[in-house]
Amino acid sequence: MGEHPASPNGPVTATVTAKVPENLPVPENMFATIGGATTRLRTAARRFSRRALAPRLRDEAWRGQALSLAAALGLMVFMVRVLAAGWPKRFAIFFPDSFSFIHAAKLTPFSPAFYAAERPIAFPTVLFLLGRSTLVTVVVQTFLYGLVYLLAATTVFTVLRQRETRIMIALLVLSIGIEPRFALWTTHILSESLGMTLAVASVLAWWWFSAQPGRRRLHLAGIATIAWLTVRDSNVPPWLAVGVPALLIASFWWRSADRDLRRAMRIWGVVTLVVCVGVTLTQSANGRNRYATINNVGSRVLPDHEITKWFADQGMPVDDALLERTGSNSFNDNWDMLTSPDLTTFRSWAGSSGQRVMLESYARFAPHWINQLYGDLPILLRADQSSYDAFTVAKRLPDAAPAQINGPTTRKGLLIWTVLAVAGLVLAAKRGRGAQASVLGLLLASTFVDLYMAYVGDSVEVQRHMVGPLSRMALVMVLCLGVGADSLVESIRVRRVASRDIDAEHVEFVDVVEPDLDEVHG
Amino acid sequence: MTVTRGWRRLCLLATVFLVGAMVVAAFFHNEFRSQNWDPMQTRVYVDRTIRFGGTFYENGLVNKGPLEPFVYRLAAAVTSWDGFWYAISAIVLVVSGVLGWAANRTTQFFGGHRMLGIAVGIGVFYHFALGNADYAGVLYSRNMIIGLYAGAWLIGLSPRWWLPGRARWAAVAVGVLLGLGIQTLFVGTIAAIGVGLLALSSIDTVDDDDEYRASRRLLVITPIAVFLLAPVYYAIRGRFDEFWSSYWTYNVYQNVATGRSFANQLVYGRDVALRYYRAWPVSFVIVIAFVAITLGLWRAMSRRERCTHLALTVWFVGAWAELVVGQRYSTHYFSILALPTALMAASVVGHMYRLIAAQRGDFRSAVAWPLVAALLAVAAGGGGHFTLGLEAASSYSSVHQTAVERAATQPGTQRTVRAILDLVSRPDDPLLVWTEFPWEYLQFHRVAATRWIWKSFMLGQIYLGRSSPDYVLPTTWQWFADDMAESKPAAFLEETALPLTGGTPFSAYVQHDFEQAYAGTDYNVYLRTDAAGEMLRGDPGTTLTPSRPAGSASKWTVGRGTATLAASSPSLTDVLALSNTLCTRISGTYASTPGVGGSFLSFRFDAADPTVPNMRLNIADRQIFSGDDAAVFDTTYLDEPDAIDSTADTALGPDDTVLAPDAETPLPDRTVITAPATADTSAPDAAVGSNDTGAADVATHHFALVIGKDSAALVIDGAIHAAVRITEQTKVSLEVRAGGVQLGDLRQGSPPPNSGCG
Repeated sequence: MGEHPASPNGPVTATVTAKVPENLPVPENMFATIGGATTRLRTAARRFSRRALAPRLRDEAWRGQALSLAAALGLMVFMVRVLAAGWPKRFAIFFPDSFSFIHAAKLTPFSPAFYAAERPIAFPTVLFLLGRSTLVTVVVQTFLYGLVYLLAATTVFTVLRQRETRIMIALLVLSIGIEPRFALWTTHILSESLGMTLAVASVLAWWWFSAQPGRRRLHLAGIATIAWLTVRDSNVPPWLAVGVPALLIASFWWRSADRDLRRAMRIWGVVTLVVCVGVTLTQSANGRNRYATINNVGSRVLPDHEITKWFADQGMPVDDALLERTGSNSFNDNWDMLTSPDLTTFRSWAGSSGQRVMLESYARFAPHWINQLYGDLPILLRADQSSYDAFTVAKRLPDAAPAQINGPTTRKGLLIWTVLAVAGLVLAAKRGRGAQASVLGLLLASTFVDLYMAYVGDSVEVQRHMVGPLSRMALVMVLCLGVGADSLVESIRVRRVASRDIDAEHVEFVDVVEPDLDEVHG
Repeated sequence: MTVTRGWRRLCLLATVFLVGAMVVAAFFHNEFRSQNWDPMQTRVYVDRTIRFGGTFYENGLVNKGPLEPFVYRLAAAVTSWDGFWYAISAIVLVVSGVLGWAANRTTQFFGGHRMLGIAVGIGVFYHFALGNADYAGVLYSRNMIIGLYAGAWLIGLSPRWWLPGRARWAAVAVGVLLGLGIQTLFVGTIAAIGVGLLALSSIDTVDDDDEYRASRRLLVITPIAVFLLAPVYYAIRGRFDEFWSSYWTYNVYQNVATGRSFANQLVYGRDVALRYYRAWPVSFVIVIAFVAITLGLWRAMSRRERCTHLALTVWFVGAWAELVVGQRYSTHYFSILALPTALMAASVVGHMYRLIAAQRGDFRSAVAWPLVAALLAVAAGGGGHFTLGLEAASSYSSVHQTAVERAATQPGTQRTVRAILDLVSRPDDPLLVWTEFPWEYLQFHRVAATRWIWKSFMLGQIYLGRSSPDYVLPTTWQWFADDMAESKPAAFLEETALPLTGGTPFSAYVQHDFEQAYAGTDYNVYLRTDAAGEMLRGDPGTTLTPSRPAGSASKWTVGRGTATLAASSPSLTDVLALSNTLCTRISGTYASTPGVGGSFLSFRFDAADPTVPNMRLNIADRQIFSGDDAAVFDTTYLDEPDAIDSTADTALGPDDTVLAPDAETPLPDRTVITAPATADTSAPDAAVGSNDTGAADVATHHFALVIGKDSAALVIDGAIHAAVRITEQTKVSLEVRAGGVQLGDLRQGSPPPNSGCG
């Protein structure tokens, strides 16, 4: 470099010099030409950036449009990765449960039987609307699933205020959506995918409402919640335990809210309560819960002497034939518990009062079930659902996010995430986002109820039943963290601005009192 | 957000979604689709150029301009061997995008709504990127030419390019594009003149007289200069003979070899045109509509519009002229006709819109037109390629993984040849092939040893023409000798369906310098005399005493250079360890001792990873076959195959797929294997075979197991009988699955020097 001190492009010139063989005639102005061209290119790039890129990036409308286009393309890529490898011949139904949805859809919403069929109405309605086509249903539910996560990212950008937290939380939310253990359910004719989709929609709607409470947003949240409640009957208990009381209590005690809003909350509390009761009654009426009762008795009640005794006291017919099935469920021994003649009395009990007794036991023996859940948590949290991945979706989506950054997959991770979420809520509450903190706190509480009910509800296919609660829990926890982090960043930023203003005022004051000494001495 | 705005945004996003899917599908599907005849030929030339250096014309018979191999060379420069076609697919996308853009601008030029233009553009893009036509999704020279002409057309249409101070540059740009097109295929000159006319009409808008004159001059001079650049360049490089032989002389042969007079060519062209429009009536309607509009609106059109119509007409006529003069109507060639037809359609649509809009005003639904066009394109254009593309995009994980998956589905005969080649040469080394196909080089990852990659060049066989020694270029054998001196191929590959024609310097060279090493069902492999010696007879090395992993429980009797297993005690676990490493040569003699289930020896290549299947070279009496634990790849016989009752125990599945002995799993190819009557088919690795010849093979045979870095071959009695590629396997053992064996004179020596072990 030292040989070309006059060159304005020292490093480039030096590199070129080193490569040129000595015997080649080199025009004297060659280096200058290369240097000049490089400079011109750099200038042109800068000019392009200044004139074309920068103004557009500053323009919020342009940014929004660009992000919309990116989102559309992202959704397309997601759908292609999930679906196209099996397109269009595959996606055959092979889960027995899928047929019960198809049967329900066959009844059509015009028949009263449809509303008391073996499945809650939301997914059969979707199947009915899509002509019970497996392929179309798979495409539509994958589209809706992807769309709702894009909506989630958009909501994050709308509700959160700081750029850093917006980007971070939006990415985390999207990373939940593309996790194979959740996304793979879009390829099955089961209610899991729609359940997760509507769960996200409902959580987002309530969060959106809490950010700026109003009747329009409340109506939207109410509708989303009803849709979510009618997709899986296991969604009812968490809402019944948390959502309904919260709405009713807030409608009376939330003094700062206007009267119309409180009235609307009361109405939605009652409406959702009615929906919960409706779902519970219709599902009880069709007797589908007897399978869960039989499974639970076989694999969870009978192995515990004390609980068995309590069940017997509540009317469960305990005899040698039943005790022989200790540890079994309805799937075992070629559906033995569902068909064996020596269990006729037991099955009759399970089809009637047994379901109520089982429900009572969830409260009566809650500590016992929670202990069992605690023991099984490691397996349940880390389940990748690969046994359900019939269409190898996991191979085509990115692996789960590392270090549990988008939700817990271990018991310790669950503890840490819970602490982080609660801390986020406390921070948010302290920084003037009380409504958000309250609503997200309630949603967080409901996720634990959801987790508990999904676990105790049926002892068979527990991992599958956990999919919805776990995806909802991950989303709510990330949002709690996001609100807290956003509040924190905002407060830091406000403090900095405030201190800078104070400094500026101080300098101004000094300038006024003590004129520039340099000027005086100069 | 208002309803209208929301609707607009929804349409926009849905269009982006669908067109995005088209782009993704086209990229992944065309990677496969673009591996067509001419593109593969060009790649072979380019690979040879990379290997041996020199000009494209020294490395192949390139009867077009240098642009096509240059583009392929560029693709090779920016990708890996396995990723090459992805680069070509990306270029196909760019070309299709330019064509779509040209259609879009044409529609708008004639008064079409912007959204209508985009809709037409999407349709054209889909047609060329994912359509059913044979010219879609490939990168033949004609696809490049229409890309160049479409680029020139776009410049000609754009008023911005012809503003003061820019017109000269625009004229040069158009000239370069047209010049490259003409240089690539000289018969495309008339079409280029058509496109040039549009640029000429654009120059008319230039007010400054100096700029006007300079632009006109440049528009004429630049294409001529670009066209002449190629011969001048090769003359300066001293390679004019090679260039001229391919570019001119061979084209003359192609022209005269059809034996048609000019009048006959015209009549033939007329017949083809009639057939073409019967098959594509939509094209005919477009042309008629264009002509009708041209005549009907001529007076109402501006001067520039008239010029544009004229330009399109000349381009269209030029395209037909190109086809007629070329005398060849391969389906891929019709791309040159498809583009001007598409632009005619675009202009018709533009005119129609303007007429309708003048009566009723703008359409509120315009925003949805691109979406509708995209949906229509998929529906009308056939979604087959689109679907396949999405499937490929969905399954894609990496270039390497795709290559591995394709290798896993390679037919057994190709696996054998590749395995043999890997023992005497490395990937990208020269391979001499007597063939008529370009893929023979590519599927074995070798470059052509000679620039005459096809036998037709050496026999004077002209594509869609006559054959005569007169059509062999005069310098053919001189350059062949030069090529052989330069490349010194280690192997010569003969397709059994196209046996080597005698009486040529090529056959003399093969007979003098090569020795047949392998005779298979599809291919015969000959090795250069020295390579054959190393492979077939090789250094036997030192005496080998095999070990018994089962220890004292083993039924093997092992001595210095010997090993014996009685016929009554075969075991799948009691194996004889021959080598714990690859890169070796184990030789000796074997004599089978048939048991109740016949005789079955399996040289097994074990992988440390239990999930990776073991590779195998098997001897079942006189039947020698390669495979892995679950499938048989390829088979040969020590005796004539017609002595074998090959149908006795073979189970055929649907479509006559040969089933494995357990009759459950179809084998990967149609190699007919018979199942031994009493073989252990319950084992997971039960892809076993046996001949049913009655008389068992108890003779003593000399054998050598030649193991390189990437493959292994089984030489029996001086000829290769089976070979298999090795992936992750590291150990070699002998497993006796039926009967017993006596091994003698066991020795362990070095592998062939070019087997990757150095």
